[in-house]
Amino acid sequence: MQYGELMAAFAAKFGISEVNAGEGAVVLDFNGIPVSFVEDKLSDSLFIHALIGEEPDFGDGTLATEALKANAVLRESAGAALCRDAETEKYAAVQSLPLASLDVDSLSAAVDGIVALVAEWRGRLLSPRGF
Amino acid sequence: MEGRHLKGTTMEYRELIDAFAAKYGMAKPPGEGDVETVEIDGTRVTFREDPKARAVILSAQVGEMPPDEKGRFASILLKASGLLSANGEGAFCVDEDDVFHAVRSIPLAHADADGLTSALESLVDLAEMWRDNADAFTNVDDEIATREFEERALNPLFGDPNIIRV
Repeated sequence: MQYGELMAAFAAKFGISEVNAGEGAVVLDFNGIPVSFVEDKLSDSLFIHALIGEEPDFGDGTLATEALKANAVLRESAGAALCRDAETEKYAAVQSLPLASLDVDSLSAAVDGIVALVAEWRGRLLSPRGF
Repeated sequence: MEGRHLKGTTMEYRELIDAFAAKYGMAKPPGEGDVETVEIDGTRVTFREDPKARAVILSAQVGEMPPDEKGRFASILLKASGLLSANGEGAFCVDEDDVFHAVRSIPLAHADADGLTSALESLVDLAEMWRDNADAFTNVDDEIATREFEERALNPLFGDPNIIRV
């Protein structure tokens, strides 16, 4: 599916009649979790990004290690992975999917996975010691 | 790197694995349970099914976490994961034995034996690159390690960085 066509069909599922997919990222908010969608024309794929937040003051690397352990079970997040932005150091959940194999249903499943992952990890960042 | 763009197919996981095994001249890939393991150029690679996402999860063993600085090293790997994922090349992960891997999920609808081979080789290249340049990523601060990873891994292996900051 083409990027613009896919984003329009996906947004329509939530009653959004128009998205301007031609100009940068499309951002949709899922219960307070903004999810960004960007076309990667080089690899003909859709890059999905959702911000989790900053490492709490207690950051001693334990949380980073736990995030890497979570990445070992990608199947529990439908393929979404955790990472940190090299510049801002904020945690995020990301996924890259080939556009050719995506439709509204498979994109919905991917978004469900990434939103659940973000919700879980936002809770971890807020709780004492992250657990 | 050529051949990184996978062709669309309607293969099921088992069918795909059998086709992959045949390509390598194996009757059946060695494995335990639902995890298949192969070794390519000295790098141990596993693949398993992700029924929920209808995908194949590939992982290539890279090395062990330094026992005395796991936290800092984990931070470097997470930042490197951000760069990898922005290029559609997966992420790093660590297992319960503190061994770290490069891991990637590929939708079944987009994989065939050639594509799977190509993706595996891409992960193996990454693992080899990390081992060859391990000194550049350790005993330095996060910022230097991440920049070195970008320059030594992403650019040579995957072309110009395609980092999308949103």
